Amino acid sequence: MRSCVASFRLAWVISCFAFAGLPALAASAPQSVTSNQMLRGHFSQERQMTGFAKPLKSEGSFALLPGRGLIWRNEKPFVNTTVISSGGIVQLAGTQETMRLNATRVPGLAQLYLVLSAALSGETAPLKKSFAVERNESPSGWEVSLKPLNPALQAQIKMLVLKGDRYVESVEIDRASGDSDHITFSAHSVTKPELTAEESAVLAAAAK
Amino acid sequence: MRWRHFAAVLWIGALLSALALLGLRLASGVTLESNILALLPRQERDPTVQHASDQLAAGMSRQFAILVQTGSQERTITIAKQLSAALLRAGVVAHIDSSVDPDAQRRIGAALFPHRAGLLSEADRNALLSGDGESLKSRALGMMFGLGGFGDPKLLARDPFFLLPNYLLALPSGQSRLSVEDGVLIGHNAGKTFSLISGTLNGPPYALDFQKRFNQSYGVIVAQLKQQVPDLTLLRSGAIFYAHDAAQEALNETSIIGAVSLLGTLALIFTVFGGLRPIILDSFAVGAGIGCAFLGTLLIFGQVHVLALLFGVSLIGISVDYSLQYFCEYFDSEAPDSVARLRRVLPGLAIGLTTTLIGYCTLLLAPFPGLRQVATFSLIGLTVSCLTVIICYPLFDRNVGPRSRSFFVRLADVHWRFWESKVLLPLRVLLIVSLCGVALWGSTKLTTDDDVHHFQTMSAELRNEEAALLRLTGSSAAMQFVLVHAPSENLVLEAEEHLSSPLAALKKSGAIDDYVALSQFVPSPARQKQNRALNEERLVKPYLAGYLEEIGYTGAIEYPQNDNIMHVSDLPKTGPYALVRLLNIPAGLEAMNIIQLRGVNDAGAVRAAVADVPGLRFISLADDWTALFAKYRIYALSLLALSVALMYPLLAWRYGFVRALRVLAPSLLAVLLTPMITAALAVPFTFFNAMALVLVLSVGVDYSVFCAETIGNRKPVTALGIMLAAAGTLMAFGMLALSQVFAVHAFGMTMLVGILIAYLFAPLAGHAAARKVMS
Repeated sequence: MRSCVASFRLAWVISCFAFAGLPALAASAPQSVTSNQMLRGHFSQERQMTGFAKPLKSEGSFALLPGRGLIWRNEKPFVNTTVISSGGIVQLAGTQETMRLNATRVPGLAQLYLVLSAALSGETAPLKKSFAVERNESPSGWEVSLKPLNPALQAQIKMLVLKGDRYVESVEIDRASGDSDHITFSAHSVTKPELTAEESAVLAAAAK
Repeated sequence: MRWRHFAAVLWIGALLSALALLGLRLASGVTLESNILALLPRQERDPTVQHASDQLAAGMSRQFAILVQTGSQERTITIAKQLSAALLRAGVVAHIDSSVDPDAQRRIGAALFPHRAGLLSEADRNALLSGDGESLKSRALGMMFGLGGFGDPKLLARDPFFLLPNYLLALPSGQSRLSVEDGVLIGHNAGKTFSLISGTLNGPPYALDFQKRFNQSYGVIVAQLKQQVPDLTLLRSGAIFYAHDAAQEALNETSIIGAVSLLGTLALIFTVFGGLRPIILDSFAVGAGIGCAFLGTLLIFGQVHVLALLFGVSLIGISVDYSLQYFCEYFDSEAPDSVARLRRVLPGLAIGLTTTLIGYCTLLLAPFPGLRQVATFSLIGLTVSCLTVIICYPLFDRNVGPRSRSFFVRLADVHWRFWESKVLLPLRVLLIVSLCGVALWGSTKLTTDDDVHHFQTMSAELRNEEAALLRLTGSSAAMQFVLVHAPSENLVLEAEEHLSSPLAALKKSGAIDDYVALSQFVPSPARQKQNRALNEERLVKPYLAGYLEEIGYTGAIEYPQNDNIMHVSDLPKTGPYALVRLLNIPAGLEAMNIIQLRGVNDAGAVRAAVADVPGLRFISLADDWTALFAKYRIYALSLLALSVALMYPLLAWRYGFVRALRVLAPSLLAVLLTPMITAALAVPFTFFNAMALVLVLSVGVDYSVFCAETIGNRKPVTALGIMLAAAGTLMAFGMLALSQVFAVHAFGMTMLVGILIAYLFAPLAGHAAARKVMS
């Protein structure tokens, strides 16, 4: 149970950094997303865990609407959707809810969503509260490593490494248990907030 | 004469040993019960309900809640943590239940973990029942593959489909408006952040010494915190705060009333009789009475309720009646010495005491523990006082010879002449007519009020704090529940499970906001077994292998094989779910649970829903008490009739059938007119008014009896006696009318008006014994 909690927090941290512009950190001009825009792209995730014959691979697309939430749409190996917002995390199969985690019930979710908003507006101060931040810059882009300060989180995660240029391109999570997760992002595009019918339905279902 | 000395020595010896015993008892600590609700009658017709209410009240009374509020979230969280730690350090709090630290969560998970095979959330269970194991598998896959990976491989080995985390997430939570931040429950309101700290006390909230310790520690801690954060505000809720408040109030009033009564009476005696000896003798009689009364009540009941103390102190006003009758004989020209004086007043004293005792004895019949204490206190006190007068006064009173008629005697005589003089007849008629007029007008305004909330001495300040606290946290003060009764723990959980669909329907229709039942946390053993079978048949067998292959897991799965049934005792004793254990009422060999209802908007619908099911009862404590008070208000009036019926034979024996009625007339008049006159003064008629009328009757009869026993020259003397007696009684009980406690105030007002009327009309009885002269 406790590991689930930490994992949820982790999900937040990742999304926060995946889409944070971090303008203050990068030499190249990173893109930040404002509230009347949305960010779309593809992701590919690999989870490496002990006891498993091969890493768990999943692929899909995401859509970020600042202030409303993040829609994470898994396409391979099966289809399901996760919506993360200030209310919490909701997993859906189609529009049928399969799991709901309220921010009020799970400690840390609400706070991390605030960190996400702060990062989007370019403020790194909230991040420094929870992590020890180390950054390296190079002509090809930037690399940021984060080590958690909170002992509860430390017990789950050793380090987070983010790499990117205009946008965050990869996130690597090293867990205390020796497992690791590797997510790569591609095909970023910033557009006007136009949602497909499915996406609107899913956001509406999550908001309930 | 020797036997008189002997009796006196014996009596004083008895009093001294009583005093020593009292001293010993006080030294070993006295519990002053200040819970007004402890006065409430036992529900003899339904001991199960009474037991459940008692247990729930006892459990809940140890809970407390404090809401801290500052302008910033950080400060609020810091203050909340400091306050919790400080309370624990001071040793007044056993544990804090509102902290949601990782430890608390781990404890719950650990407590339930061995039993996980039998635990399924409602939604999961329904999915499996309808044959939809696929959705649970998809969900588990989603957790393993999802963003960042929710599924933990270590958990996978022990709970491949993550059923336990889902079970825990689906459990009902206490506060709907609060969220958890840094291990602390917080909420936001109007730009400020507040945090709720709730916990269990480390001592009985109604014991005075613990109350003092708690409030002292609390005061010191809060002062320190306020220095740190000046904009800190606190809201309090919990029996410990009310109890302290109520006890403080009652004790303050007791001391004030006691002091004023005593000083007033002594001043009266000094003014009228002069000299120190009457004062000493009176103090002796009254003091002996109260001391023995306190000791007797303590020995019989084990503790003294502050209300008994309050009423007991007003005994000072009544027990002085006997002394006064005796002292008035100073002015009697035919009583040359103390023995003669006593002989003249003895019949009056004896009959007066007996009628008063009859009145208090009927109070003993009322099934209210608090009133029984008051009655016992008064019975012992009055008897001892009177006996002290009878046994000791003749020996210690060295006052020889009658005194000249003082101013006071002449003043008192006016009262008697008022009734005897033919000239003043129009005035008498005017008095009666105006009284009846006021009564008639008042009878149109007569209302009854049985709302139990009036009888809880909660200061307005505390009441507002509690209301604000409940509003901000979204919780409700739980006073309504469904009692579930069954022969064993297993069966009672099953009974609750059968209720889940009617309760869900009630929730949907808005009849109730929500409910909390033990079976939501601990399914019945039958259900746990069924869950296990469902898991095995509809989830594990069809899907496990495929699922593990899809995720590529090659390790072993450790799922509990044997039946490890979870019981209520497996729930953790501290932390957020500690209060759930309160729902189980220890009931000997049988099992009793309470389903707590939140926000009952339609009590009728709930009653109907549980009506036909055996073993279920809908309890609404506040409504039940109100109905009870109404019933006993009427019952008290029959006690009144009983008092009259018991007094009449005694009076008839002494005065003859017809004249006995004349003796009773003033008191009966008082009893009839008082409710209407008090109604004119905007005092509603309650059960306590009715009880006061019983006392009005018995004390009022005293005055009539004294008047009936007197003759000729002694009339003015007796008139002085009853004037002083009435003054003392009015002073004592009249002060009760100033009390903040609604029940005491109503009682005091009734006594005030009733005694006044009984006193005014007392000389009417004087004609009764005119021809039946004492031998």
